[in-house]
Amino acid sequence: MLEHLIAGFAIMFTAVTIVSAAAGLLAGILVGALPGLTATMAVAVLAPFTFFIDVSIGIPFLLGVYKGAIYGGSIPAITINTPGTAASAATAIDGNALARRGRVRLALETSLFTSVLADLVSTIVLILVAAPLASIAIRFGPPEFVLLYLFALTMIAGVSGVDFVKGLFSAVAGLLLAIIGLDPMSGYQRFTFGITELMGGISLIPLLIGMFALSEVMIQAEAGRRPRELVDVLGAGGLTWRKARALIPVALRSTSIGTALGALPGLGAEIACWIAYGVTKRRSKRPQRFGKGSLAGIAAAEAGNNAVVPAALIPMMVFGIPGDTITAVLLGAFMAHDLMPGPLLFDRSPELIYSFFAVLLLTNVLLIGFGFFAIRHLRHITRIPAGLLYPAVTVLCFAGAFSVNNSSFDLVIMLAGGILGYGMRKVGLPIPPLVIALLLAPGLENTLRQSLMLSAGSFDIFYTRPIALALLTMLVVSVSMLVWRQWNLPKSSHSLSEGTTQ
Amino acid sequence: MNTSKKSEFKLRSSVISAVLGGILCAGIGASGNAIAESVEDFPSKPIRFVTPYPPGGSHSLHAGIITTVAEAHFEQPMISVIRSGGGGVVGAAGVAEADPDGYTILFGDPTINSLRPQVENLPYEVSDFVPVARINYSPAVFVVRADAPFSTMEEMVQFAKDKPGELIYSSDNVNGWTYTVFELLKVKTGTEMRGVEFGGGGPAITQLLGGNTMAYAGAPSVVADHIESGALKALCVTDTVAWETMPDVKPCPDLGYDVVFLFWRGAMVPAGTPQPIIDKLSAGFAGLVEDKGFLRLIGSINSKVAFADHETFFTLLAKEVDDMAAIAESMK
Amino acid sequence: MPRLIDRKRYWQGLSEVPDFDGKLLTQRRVDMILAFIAAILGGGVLLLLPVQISGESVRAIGSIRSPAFFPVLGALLMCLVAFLLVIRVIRAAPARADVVEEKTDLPGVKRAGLMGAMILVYGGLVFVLGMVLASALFIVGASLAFGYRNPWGIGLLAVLTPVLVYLMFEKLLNVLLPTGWVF
Repeated sequence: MLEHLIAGFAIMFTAVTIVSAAAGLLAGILVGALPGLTATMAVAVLAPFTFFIDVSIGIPFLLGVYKGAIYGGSIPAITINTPGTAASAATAIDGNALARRGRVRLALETSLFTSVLADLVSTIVLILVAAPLASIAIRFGPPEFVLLYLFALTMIAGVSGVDFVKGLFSAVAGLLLAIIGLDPMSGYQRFTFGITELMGGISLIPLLIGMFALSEVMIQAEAGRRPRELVDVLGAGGLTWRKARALIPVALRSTSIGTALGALPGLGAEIACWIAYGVTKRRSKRPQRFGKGSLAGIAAAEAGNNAVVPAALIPMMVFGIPGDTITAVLLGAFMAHDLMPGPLLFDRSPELIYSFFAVLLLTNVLLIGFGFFAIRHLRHITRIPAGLLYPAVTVLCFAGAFSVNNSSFDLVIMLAGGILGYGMRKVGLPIPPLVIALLLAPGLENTLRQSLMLSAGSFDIFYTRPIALALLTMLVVSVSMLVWRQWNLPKSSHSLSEGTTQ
Repeated sequence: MNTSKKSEFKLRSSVISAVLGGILCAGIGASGNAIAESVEDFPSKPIRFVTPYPPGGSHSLHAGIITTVAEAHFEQPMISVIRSGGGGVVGAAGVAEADPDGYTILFGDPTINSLRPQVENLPYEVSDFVPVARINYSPAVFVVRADAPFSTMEEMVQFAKDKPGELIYSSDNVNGWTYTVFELLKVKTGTEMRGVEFGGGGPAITQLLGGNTMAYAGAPSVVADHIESGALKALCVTDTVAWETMPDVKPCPDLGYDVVFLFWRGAMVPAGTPQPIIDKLSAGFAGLVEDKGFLRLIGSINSKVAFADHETFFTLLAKEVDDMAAIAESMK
Repeated sequence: MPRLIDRKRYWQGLSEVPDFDGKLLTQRRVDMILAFIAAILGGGVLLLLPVQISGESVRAIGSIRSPAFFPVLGALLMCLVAFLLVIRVIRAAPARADVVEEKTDLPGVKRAGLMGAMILVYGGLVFVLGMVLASALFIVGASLAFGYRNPWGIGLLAVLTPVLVYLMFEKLLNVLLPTGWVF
């Protein structure tokens, strides 16, 4: 295999390939950094352009875009509390809090460090164990996914903040929102109120753009007229080696979560970041620091989402099965270049595949350079007067939300999301539980019903299968520990926790 | 002073009326021109090619290839628009409601254009669309896992007869392509099999490969590699002739199972589009399917071209709608 | 004379107007409102069930495979949330209610409301004037609302942003942006 890799590097080391990978990475970071533009949209739109270009230019370019976009989203998340992509939503919590304390550079550099580390580790996993990992992943059937989704739902407790009841409110609201649309298994319309556009359900991306970005614009508008004095938020120093070393365990744990989830078709970076964040918070000795600018929080979120990128290529390349929309588009691009992903890919074109692995490693290294470059210049976003920044962000959001599905109804959803998001933030309803529930509920419902259809109605399918049994145990242990911790929490005199029935 | 004011007033009012008159004439002329223009100068702006399924599937893949090469054959760029949701219904309904001016085309297929409107309560009817050109079609290939307890159609049907309800197969959506193919099989053989809907071909194959289901029926482009690698076995193909790249897989009717269902892909426009525009579009697609670049890309995604121009497609579709009605009846 | 901002409050999203004294929302009131909303949502879903999902009713809770199972589950959970909130409202002694309060400052909310209204109008304008024009108008209005007063800055942004967005989306990415009746 080493010879393959070396041969791959040889193929890859042409100027054209390197330049196109770098160009893709740069374009991806730019797209990710602009709120309203998503990685999915960028890849989906740019892919057809590469059909007629040579494979050694087209594929490296697209891989670069994918990787760059997932990283780029963290920049606006940290600087202006507006995630550039859905996968960076978890980064915004601690990232922006840290930025507001005046440590923008530290936050951005932590994000870069853990992103690069996670990406590197995940790529190595892809290169070394793609095939065995894929054959385990493919054994994940509906029952295993049900348990995985349930486990992910328990993360809601971690991101609800102080008030669990409000977190539950948000989560159930997310569940109800997810129900709207056509039920894929029975074909019934649910709560569409006769509106055709709702038959597809509430479009996720426009809603998230509204809830995160537009609500932020409105919150910022509250401060009204400000004097032209610029608020100086450049803090002292960035990431030191010491701090970075201390973060490595967190980053590695989150990376393994992201890699595992990426290899499973159906779960993407948007949910991996929350699970990594939630698990890290749970295992942290100082969970109360999370939400106020904890470096571990940033590290967990960013490692979680960046680890997904190489891992998502595993099921795509080994089985030809795309895990999410982006990999589906990449799959199409591969096919258009005469590379049929699937079991025979490695046999037919090993050199080319290994050259892509080499490209992934190369872009990993390039990311360090581009990342620092981006940080040096983009952190000054905070200096832009609000009156220029937020209106421009709003315009981008409108364009981005519309372009997801070319639908004017999506703009309505985005507007509704903005008002909803603003209202939630004013009354203290946490937004992350709603997002998590919205992301997971459809999958949970489908897999639950598929499981019962497979087992003809019996529940034993959840504990007779080995992987399912393992997951069930993990779930039970996790929930028990959660309940136990809540029970033994020192009773605070905070009137908010009064009345919670835990 | 007074006279100058008066004359000023006169001058102003005459200028105003001249301008208004001019606008009026221009408006009339323009609207008249607009109608005339729309047929002769078609197309004068980019055309939207709507795919009603999520990106990454074979549908959007074909659409991407079509739109990439289209400009040379339509004099205007063709823009691929993805409008997914509701299993294809949202995109189709959107095109049905669009202006019938030839600038919005639906990339349709039999499930959303022929079958489901007759079986379900959708926001559009079969007659809301006019077929322009068919690009290609593919049959379904019945596949089972390599280690399944049956390796021929006969054995599979026998298994289902012996153990009713125990044969579990991967399905896509209610009234989708795979769903319908299996329903037809079940009706024609009088067997009971259990289908689990997974939402699409990708997840369906995943579950089959992972051992959670026993059988599936899908497009050659999706199953071919797995058959070649030995993970899946092909049983028969739902066409009247064998598929070119799989000559060993027999057509289902030849084995005694009258299940024929071809999944075509074609361009549809909203009903009411003027015939000259339809003819222009049809001619454009005829040229497109001969384009060398197009053929190369189609080949590389393991698909083929089976062009049918407007008239042929119209006849084929009319017959198919009747067939679908019969199928819907038999599935009840 | 420009006021000095209290940076801490600025970053907390609070208005810079320090002499506000209106008490609009306390935690208790928030809980009551949320309980009300939760009850409406939960009850509403259950009531609308037969209409919105043809032929199903609350009894669907028995069968997981029914399309109404998750809606009913969600509605019941929502009612639970309402119940919990009501309990909390009742149990919070009135004296305690003053201890932790979140004051919502009215002028801030009004400004946010104005921004929200402008965004909504922008949304409507996009389909009348087309994306480019509507964006330009919105930028002018929104910048002013944010207190930005430099006419050159506003003008430049109002021209550059829509044009750049248009170029990027329509020319580079080949994505059509909404056009209106006029433009």
